[in-house]
Amino acid sequence: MNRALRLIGRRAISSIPVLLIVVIGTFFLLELASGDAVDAYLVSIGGGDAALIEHLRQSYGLDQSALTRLWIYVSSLARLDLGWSVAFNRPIAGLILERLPNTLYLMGSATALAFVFGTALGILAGARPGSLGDRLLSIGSLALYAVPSFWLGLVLSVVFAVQLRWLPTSGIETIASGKQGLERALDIIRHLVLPVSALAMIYLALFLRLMRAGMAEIWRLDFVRAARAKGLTRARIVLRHVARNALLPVITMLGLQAASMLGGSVVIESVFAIPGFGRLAQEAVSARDAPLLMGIIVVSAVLVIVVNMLIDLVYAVLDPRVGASEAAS
Amino acid sequence: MALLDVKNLSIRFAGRSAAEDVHAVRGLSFAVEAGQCVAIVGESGSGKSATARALVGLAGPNALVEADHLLLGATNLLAFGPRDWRAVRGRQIGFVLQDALVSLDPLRTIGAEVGETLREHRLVPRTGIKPRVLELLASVGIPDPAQRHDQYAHQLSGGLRQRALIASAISGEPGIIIADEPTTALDVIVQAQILRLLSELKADGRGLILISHDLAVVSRLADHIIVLRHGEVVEDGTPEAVFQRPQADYTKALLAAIPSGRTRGQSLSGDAPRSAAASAAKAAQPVLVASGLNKQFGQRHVVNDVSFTINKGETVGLVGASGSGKTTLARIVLGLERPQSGTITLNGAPWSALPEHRRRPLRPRVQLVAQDPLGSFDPRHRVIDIVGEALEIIDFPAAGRRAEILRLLASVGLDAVHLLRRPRELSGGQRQRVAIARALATRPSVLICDEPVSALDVSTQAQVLDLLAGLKRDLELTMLFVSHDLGVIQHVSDRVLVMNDGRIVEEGLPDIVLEQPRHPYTKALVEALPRLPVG
Amino acid sequence: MTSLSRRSLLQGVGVLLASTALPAFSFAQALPTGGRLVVAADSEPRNLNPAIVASNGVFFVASKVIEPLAEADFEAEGGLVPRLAIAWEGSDDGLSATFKLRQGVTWHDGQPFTAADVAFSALEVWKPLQNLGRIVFANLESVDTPDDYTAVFNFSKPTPFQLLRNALPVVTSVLPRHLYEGTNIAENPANTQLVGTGPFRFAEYKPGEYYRLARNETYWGEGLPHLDEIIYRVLPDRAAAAGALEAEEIQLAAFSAVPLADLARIAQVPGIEVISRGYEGLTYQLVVEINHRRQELSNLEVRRAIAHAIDKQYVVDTIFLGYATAATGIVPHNAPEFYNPEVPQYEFDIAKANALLDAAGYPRGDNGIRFSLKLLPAPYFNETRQFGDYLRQALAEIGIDAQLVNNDSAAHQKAVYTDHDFDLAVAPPVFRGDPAISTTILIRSGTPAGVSFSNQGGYESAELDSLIDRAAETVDTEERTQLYNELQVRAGEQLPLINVAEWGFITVARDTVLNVGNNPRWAVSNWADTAVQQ
Repeated sequence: MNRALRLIGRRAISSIPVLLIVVIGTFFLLELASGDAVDAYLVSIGGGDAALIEHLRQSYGLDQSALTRLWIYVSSLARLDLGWSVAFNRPIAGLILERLPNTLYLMGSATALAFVFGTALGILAGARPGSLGDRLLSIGSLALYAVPSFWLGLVLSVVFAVQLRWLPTSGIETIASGKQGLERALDIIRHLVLPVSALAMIYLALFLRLMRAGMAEIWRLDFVRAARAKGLTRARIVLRHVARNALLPVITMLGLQAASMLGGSVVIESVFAIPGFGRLAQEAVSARDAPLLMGIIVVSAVLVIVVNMLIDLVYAVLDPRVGASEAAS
Repeated sequence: MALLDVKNLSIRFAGRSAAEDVHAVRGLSFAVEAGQCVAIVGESGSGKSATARALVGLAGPNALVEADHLLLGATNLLAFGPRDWRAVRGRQIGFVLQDALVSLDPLRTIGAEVGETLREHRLVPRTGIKPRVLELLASVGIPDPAQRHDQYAHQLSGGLRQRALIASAISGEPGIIIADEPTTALDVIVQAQILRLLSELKADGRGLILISHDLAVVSRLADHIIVLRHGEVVEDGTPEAVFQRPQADYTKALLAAIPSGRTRGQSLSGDAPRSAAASAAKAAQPVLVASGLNKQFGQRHVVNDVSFTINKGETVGLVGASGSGKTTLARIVLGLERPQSGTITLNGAPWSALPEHRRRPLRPRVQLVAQDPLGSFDPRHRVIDIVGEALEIIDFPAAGRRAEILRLLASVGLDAVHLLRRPRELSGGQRQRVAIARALATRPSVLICDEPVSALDVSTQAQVLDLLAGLKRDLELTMLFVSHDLGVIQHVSDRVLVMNDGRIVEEGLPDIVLEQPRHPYTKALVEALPRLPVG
Repeated sequence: MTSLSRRSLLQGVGVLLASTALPAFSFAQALPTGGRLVVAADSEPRNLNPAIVASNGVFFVASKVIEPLAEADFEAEGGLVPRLAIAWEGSDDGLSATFKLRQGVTWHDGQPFTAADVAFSALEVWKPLQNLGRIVFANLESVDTPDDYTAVFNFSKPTPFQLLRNALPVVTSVLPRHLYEGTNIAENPANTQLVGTGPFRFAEYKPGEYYRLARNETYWGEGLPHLDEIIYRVLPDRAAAAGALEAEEIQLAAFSAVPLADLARIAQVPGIEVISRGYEGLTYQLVVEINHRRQELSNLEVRRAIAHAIDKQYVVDTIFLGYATAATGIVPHNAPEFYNPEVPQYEFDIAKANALLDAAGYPRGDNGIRFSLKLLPAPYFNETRQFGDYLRQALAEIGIDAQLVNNDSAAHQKAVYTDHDFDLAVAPPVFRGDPAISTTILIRSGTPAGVSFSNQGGYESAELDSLIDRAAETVDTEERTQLYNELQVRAGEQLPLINVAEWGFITVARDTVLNVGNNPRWAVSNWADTAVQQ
């Protein structure tokens, strides 16, 4: 446990400069984009005269230099204040807290689903590399992996929501239904089925392929031969030796995917009208709301860092070799 | 009745057509009796490992195993299906693989690995597994079995791992143990211990099949030696017969290729006889002088007050077990590691004390030939790129580069056909030749050879050692030769340094140090060295 | 101050009462009452206050809660029906306008509605804060309230009553003075938690999910509204809107939330209707903006050649799938009060366009190209982007190589209207009922850089400027209309910009929704008479 705590401590400290780089990078990237928050707002209201524009720039603080604004932002961030969103005219912390759970539900369930089924099918495929089952699963996963997630989302929506009407087309819960407690939870789950499936399928394919490839590699290793020389059955070798060892890189990938899943959820959230983080980010960009976007990115980065810390912990539990070098020194 | 009777065994790997079939082994016959050891010896590609695997039904899905008969006691193994094999493996035939680090599942404890056969075959009740595993660990000489039981492979030394593998192989009380290169990755001292353990198993009445590339290793244990070459039996007989009266030229060459003190100054491969040119005759002219080197990693004193000198045209052998600090010392000499105290001078000028930006222009003067050239070459580079890059570093004129590359390749026995090959398209010996050519390209003052022949077969090793000897003579090469193999060291060195626990414990002429060792560690090292029973 | 006669005011009242209020009342009896209407919304405006932001996105929600003085109508005389005002009259000199206000109206929080609210809204909000009100009420000096139900607007310069009347539905949303007075109006919480006098009160907003409006039980309109609830469900993805409509999760998608390409298919779905009525007062114009700083484009013959190269009917048929009309000039057909068909036309004629360019001194080079242009289509609509692609091809036909630059909204806004970093741009301006608040800003010179949807192409014509300025101060309706007629002709000759097409949006609704599209600004009107068949 001591080993784990040290790991976390080190990660936490090393993530601060990462966050700073991310914030500054985002700020200047958005600064490079043509047009500012006032331009975006003017489009949304259908235009305004010069005096209004002047007034808006002033009240948004856009009359100050970029460096001043960045300094104001970073120093308020250091006080854990995420600032004010000009696009939504609300405190950013509240906005993020409102949207974050939806995305976490979406990503969490999609990741869990993709991981569980992906690795399970990967084990099935990797148990007998080259077999018919392996080939079918490999082709299937490749096809799935090649499909864009928004298209998959639309197809699922047309079939299961529009045609069969088994599930709702979009949204996170039935609007203004007044449902509470368990009933509301079930309602949210019903709404999440399609978007989670759409998001999960693609990552499922990824995990499947990764697991299969890892197993194919492990099969060639000597300890597997040693296990066979002990007279173990194939099933036992697959589960006890091959799958377990092949799982490690998949778990590393799970951490890496946390970031890309945040990106993937932008599309899915838009298709399924889920008020989540990805959509908020999209709105922040199109409204040129730099503080909001930076807030989103900071929180996302923290999220990714936390997920990867958890992954490291899990990894340390699963792989006795991790941290051994430190223990020795 | 023999425990295992093999008659006219042939192993074929099916290719796309019959013409592409590969015959790994043909016409191999032998029998293993209780308390006897059959050794199958050969270089890589001889079919010895394929034989070992075929005997437990693990030759692979593409392998065609045929024989007049293949009997385990009275059972015909040729008729076996997967289920039958599973019943045999572990219980009647135990298998010890070569590299213990990769032969133990890294994610499972030693106890789980060793007890797996017991659990799988339900040989003892569930609650009895742990006590039995502890017994087994103790029986193969693992100290403190209760602690080791819950540790993982990476926490054990190579010798302990190999012992654990043997414990695992004998856990099902099989009558036959097949050991495939059980000591290859080990130090001499540990190797001697493992061989002793195997001989104890033999003494217990088990039949032993020992697979090795090293005739010396099997010489003490075997009752019957079979020498394989390209799948064919070239020599078959008792140790005396094989060692004293070898019949096949191959066997003779193989025996002659084994380096030792006696072979110094002679050709090992037999193709380039050379005179024992007197390098020592010249006045000593120090090239590399190390004094008072120290290096600590945390609490560990890896290099402890080490001083030595290498004179021009001299080969200094550095020998020691793994963990003795010889690799770190080599890295310090290369300027890859900075000593905490002490200095190295090169041709009288500072070397280790230089800041990196001043050392970098001088780096061509110290070159390395490493153990595994495959790992030190960019797999996408061709030979011409690999050697050319070294020339580029010393700003060799571009116009003459190709000619110089060809000259360097010729000096290591390669020619223009190899220019465009990539590392994977070369044999192990050829790769090591390219590595030497690359090292020589910069005309170094000192060549560091770090276990340059450890990964090679005996006959290839002989060729590379001969090549180095020839180069030394012709170019007056100054070398630091690092190896764990006393024979090799004794063969190549003008002077020997013995290293243990970070210290140079003994230094002197090879014959004196290795024939009349004074330090206890050197003594142990020399005693552990397997020797051919040749007159 | 005014020369308004009491008689004419009362006349107005009588006519209006007779013509509109009564039929609406009797109609109401036949419709079902109660129920929930769920409609699609594609955006969530930052500021929902229609008195500050006069945009369709805001009106779509806010017009049900906050009412203007009058609303547009198909049949009523002058095209207006009363809302919070029951009669209006301008003085002959254009220096004042008088509004008689509705009695017995209460705000959603129970406070009574009076002329003080109107005076406050006009002076403190419409004139200083509202994007369009700033133009219409530029010369508003004071508002007198002789009694609680009369508001007299006084102008420092003549302000045409025609403009005022036409702008009433858009610029006169009345705010409750008691909630705004003495506060920072732009940041008042009531800008998102709207309080008005309309048929629905603002009940709930779940960001990213929905707005909910609930029936105002004390609405002044007898028997109105019919619906219990309106829910705006936020559906940013257009395909999602169509799917939700088909799955009966929503009952109505306005503002072409269902893409044109889907209409043919969705019209076949039983129970779904495609309705193009109800946007006559919200006509969008497809316009090619021209940067006259570019030497080639400052040449009238080149502009004429470009106009000849555009096949307007093809654009209407192919890009708008027929849901549009080819434009003839700067004022759309849907503004009959101003529309002048007698303006120069540039029929589709590639040969003529090529000949014009040859004559103008821009021969084709060896590669067949006369010169290159930077073309920036506005990103707001599919159709503007598609027209950008079409225009590039059309220009290629006449040897002009157009480089397409696709930006997002903010970047487009900056590139075209601030940086003038364009040669041609595709814009979709809205015609808001009067040229003075729609058209002239696209032609008049002297607008400072940064003002969106204005003439940023550097076009300067003393003749056109003077026509615009005279019309702005001409009080007499006929004379003013005449000036705009002439402006249309001159603009047709000079081509400060090229009008290509005019279109309204499409509503797709379940057939259970009644009274859809029954006024020219239906989507942004109060939906008091909208009902749902249970």
